[in-house]
Amino acid sequence: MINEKIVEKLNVYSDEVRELAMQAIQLSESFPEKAIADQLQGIVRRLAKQQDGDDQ
Amino acid sequence: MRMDGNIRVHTDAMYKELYNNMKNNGVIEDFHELFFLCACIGYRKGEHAAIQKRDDRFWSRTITPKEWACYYAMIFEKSNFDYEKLSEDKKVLEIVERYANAGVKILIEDFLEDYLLPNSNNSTPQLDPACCRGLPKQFVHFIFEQAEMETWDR
Amino acid sequence: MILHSMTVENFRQFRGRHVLEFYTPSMGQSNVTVIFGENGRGKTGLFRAIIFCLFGERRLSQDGDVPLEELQLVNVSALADNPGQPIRTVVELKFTHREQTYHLRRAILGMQDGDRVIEEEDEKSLFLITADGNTKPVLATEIDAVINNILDRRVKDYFLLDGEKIERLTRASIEQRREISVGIRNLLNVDALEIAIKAVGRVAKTLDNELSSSSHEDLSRLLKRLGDNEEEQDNSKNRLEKLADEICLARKEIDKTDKALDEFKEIRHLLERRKSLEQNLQEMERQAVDALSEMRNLVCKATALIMAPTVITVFEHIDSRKQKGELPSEIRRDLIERILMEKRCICGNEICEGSEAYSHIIDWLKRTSDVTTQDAALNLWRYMSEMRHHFSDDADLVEKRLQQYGNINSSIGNLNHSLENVSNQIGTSERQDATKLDVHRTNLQKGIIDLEANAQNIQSQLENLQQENDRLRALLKEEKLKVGKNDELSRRSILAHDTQDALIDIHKQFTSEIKDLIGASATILFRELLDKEGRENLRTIVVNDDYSLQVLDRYKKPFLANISAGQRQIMSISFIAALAIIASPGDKIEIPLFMDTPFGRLSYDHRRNLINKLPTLASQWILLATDTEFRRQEAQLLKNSGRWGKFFMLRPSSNGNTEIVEQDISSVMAVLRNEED
Repeated sequence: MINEKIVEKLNVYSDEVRELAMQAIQLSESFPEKAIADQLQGIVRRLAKQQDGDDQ
Repeated sequence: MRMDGNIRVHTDAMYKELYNNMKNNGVIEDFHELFFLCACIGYRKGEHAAIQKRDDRFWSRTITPKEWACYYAMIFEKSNFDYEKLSEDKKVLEIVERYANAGVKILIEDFLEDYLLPNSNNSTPQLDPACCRGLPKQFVHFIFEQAEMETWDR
Repeated sequence: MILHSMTVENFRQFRGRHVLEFYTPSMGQSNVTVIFGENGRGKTGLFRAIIFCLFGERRLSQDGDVPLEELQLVNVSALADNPGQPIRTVVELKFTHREQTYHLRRAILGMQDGDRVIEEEDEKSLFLITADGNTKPVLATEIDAVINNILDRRVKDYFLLDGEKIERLTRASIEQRREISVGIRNLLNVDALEIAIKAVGRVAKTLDNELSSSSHEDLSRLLKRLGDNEEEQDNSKNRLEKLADEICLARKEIDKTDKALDEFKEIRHLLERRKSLEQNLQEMERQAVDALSEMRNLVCKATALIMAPTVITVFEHIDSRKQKGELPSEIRRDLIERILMEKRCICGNEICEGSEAYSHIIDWLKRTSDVTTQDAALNLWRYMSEMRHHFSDDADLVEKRLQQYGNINSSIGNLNHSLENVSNQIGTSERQDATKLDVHRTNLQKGIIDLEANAQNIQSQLENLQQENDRLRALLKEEKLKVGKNDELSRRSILAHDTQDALIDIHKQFTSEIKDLIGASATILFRELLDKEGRENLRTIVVNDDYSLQVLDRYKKPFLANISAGQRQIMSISFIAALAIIASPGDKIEIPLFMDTPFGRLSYDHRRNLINKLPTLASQWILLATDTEFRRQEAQLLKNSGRWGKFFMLRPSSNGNTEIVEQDISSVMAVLRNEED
C-alpha cells in the first residue's frame, strides 16, 4: 500500500509520470532494485506509446 | 728514611687479581692506595701475616711522602722507638707488606666479601663485575668509617 | 511503554541473576529511575540489554564499526569458571504498552571455543498478560512484528541519549550533519520511495545509453557530456564521503586524546610534582657524584687518619726527647766519646772510670744518637708534626664530607620514596607524555581543518557540477523533445527522467517537512529547558538543508556561533528528544528514555529545567549517571520534582563483574558527593 501522502503529492504530475512512479513504489515494497528496473522498462514503453497516441 | 723509590713492593700472588680488579673498576687510582689502606688496617688491628707466595705489585716510587711517613711511624712505634729499624727502607717495606697482607684479609672479611665472585674468596678473590657499580662509593664510605672509628685527642 | 522490571542473567558484566524493578502502579507519577555507577560498570549495558531483549540486536549506534564478535553478551567470568560448559544469557522484560502488559524473554547460549566465544540464539518468548492475570503466548514467528509495532527498531537508538551523541551534535561538523541526516532518514521510513528512485534512475540510464549509441549526434554528444558530468559528480561524492570518514576518525582520535588529557588534568598536579621530584633527584644525584668525587680526593687523608693514634704517639715520643734536649743532643755524641776515651772533660779535669762523673757521661752517651739517627729522628718528627697538624682539620673535613654525603643519600632516598608514592598515585597506565598528547591533538586539529577545507572545495565543485548537470539536462530534454516527436526512445527516456525527478522531489518534500517538524518540536523543548537568559534571546532551532543545526535569535538571525557550551548541550538534548518524540506515535515519548550523563556543562538552572521537564515528556526517564554527574544537588532537584521513583547502584564485585544494589531514595544523600567534593 502506497503512502497516502505520496499519492497526494504525485497528483501535480502528468498521468504517465504518476502511474510510472506509483508502479515503481509498489514494486519497491516487494522486489529488489534491478528486478524493479526490468519490470519498469515494459511499463515505460507502454506509457511512452500511450503518450504518443495522446499527442496524436 | 730516604723514601727510596727503587724498591719493588710485594703482595701475596693470590691478591693480584683483586688489585687489578679494584683499579680497573675505578675503586682505586693506583695500587699503592690499596696497599696503604690494607697496611693501616692490619697495623691498627695489630695483625700481620707472612706472604705465602710473594708477587711484585708496584714500585715504591709511587708511594707518597705521607704514606712513607705512616710506614715509618708504624715501624718506629712497633719497634719501641728504635731508630735503627728505620735505617733501611727495604726492611721497612718488608714489615709493612706483612701488615698489608693481614689487612687485605680483614678488608675482604669486613667489606669486600659482598662484592666478590662467589667461591673466589678462599682461592683468588675477584670482584664480581655485576656488583661493582656501587663499589667505589661504598669503598670511600668504608675508609671514612674506619677513620672515624679511630679516636685521639683532637 | 512503561518498563516494570528487567531481569538480566549472566549478561555482560552482570554475573548471575539480577532484577531491577523500575516501576509499579502504586508509584503513580514517580517515573524516574537513577542508575548510578562509575564508568564501565554497565550503565549503558542495561540499555543494551533492553534492545537485545526487544529486538535480539547487540549493536547500538555508538558501537560504530566494532565487529559483532567483539560485542559479546555472555558474562566472561561465568564462561571462565565453567570451561567447556555453555552459559545461558537471559534478559527478561516486563512492560506495559497502551494498557497491555507484556512479558518478553530472550536468551542466548554462549560457549568458549578456543580464543573466541560462540553465541547462539537459544530461546525467545512473549506473553501477553491479561487483566485477570492469565498469560497468553505469542507465536514465535509473530514476536518480532508485535514488538516492531510497539517500537520500530530503526529508531531504537533515539531512546538512548548518550553523552557522546549529545556532544557530537553540539559541533557544526560533518559528523553532526551525518548524525542528523541518518536520524531523519530513519524517521521518514521511506525505504520503498528510495528504492523506487534508484530503480527508475536505472531505467533512465539504460535508455540514455541506448540513445547515446543512436544516430542523433547532438543527443549523443549531450548524453556523453552528461554521463561524464555524472561520473565526475559520483567521484566527487565518493571523495567527499571518504573525507567525511577521515574527519570522523580524526575527531574520534581527538576525543580519545581529550579523554587521555582529561585524565591528565586530574593527575596533572601529580605529574608536575613528579617532574619536580625527578628534577630534584637529578640534582641530588649530581651532588652525590660531586660529593663522592670530593671524598675520593680525601681518600689518602682519610686513610692516613686511621694511623692518627700512631702518628701522634710517635710525634709525642720524639717531641719529648726534643723537649729534654736529647734531640738534637746538646752535646755531640762524638765529643762525649772523645771525653770518655781520653778520660778528660773539656774543662781539663780527669774523669775516672767508675766515678759519678763517669756515670753521668755514660748516661749522656746513651741518650745521644749519632748524627744520622738524629737526622732521621728529626725528619720523622717533622713528618709527624706536619701530619698531626692537619689531623684535626682533616678529621673535620672527613666528618663533614661523610655527613654531607649521608644527607645527600638520605635526600635521594626520600626523593625516591616520594617518587614511588607519586608514581603509584598516577597509576600504571601507559605513560604518555601530556605534551605529546597536546601536540598530537594540535596536529589532528590541523589535519581536520585541511580536510574540511578540502571538503569545502569538493562541495563547491559539486555545486558547480550540479549546475552544469541541470543545464545539460535541460539541453538534453530540449534535444530529446526535438527528436522525440519522431523517436519513441527519446520519449521513453524523457518519461523515465521526469518520473525520477518527481520522486526525488517528493523525497525532498518529505525530508523538508520532517525537518520542519523536528525543528518545531525541538524548539518547544529547547525553550522549556533554557534558562531565563537563554529564553530571552534564543528562539528557534532549525535543521538546515545540509542537515546542520542552527539556532535563530529573536531577530531570526543565525546565532549558533555565539551560544555557550551549556546552551549547545541543551540544543542537542532538545533535538535528540524531538527525534524520540516524533518517532513515538503520540506527542509524548512513549518509550523509556535513557539519558547518559547529561549534566556535564549545564548550569544549575539548565539542570533544574531538565530534571523538571523530562519526566513529564517521557513515559519513563532512566538516568544513567556517575558520581561526578549526580551529586546531592541533582538528587535534591529530583526529590523536589516529586518524580523520583528508584535508585540503583552498580557496584563492582569480583572478577570485573557488577552487582546491582537498590538503595532507598531517602538514604541516597549519604552516598552522594557534594558539589564542593
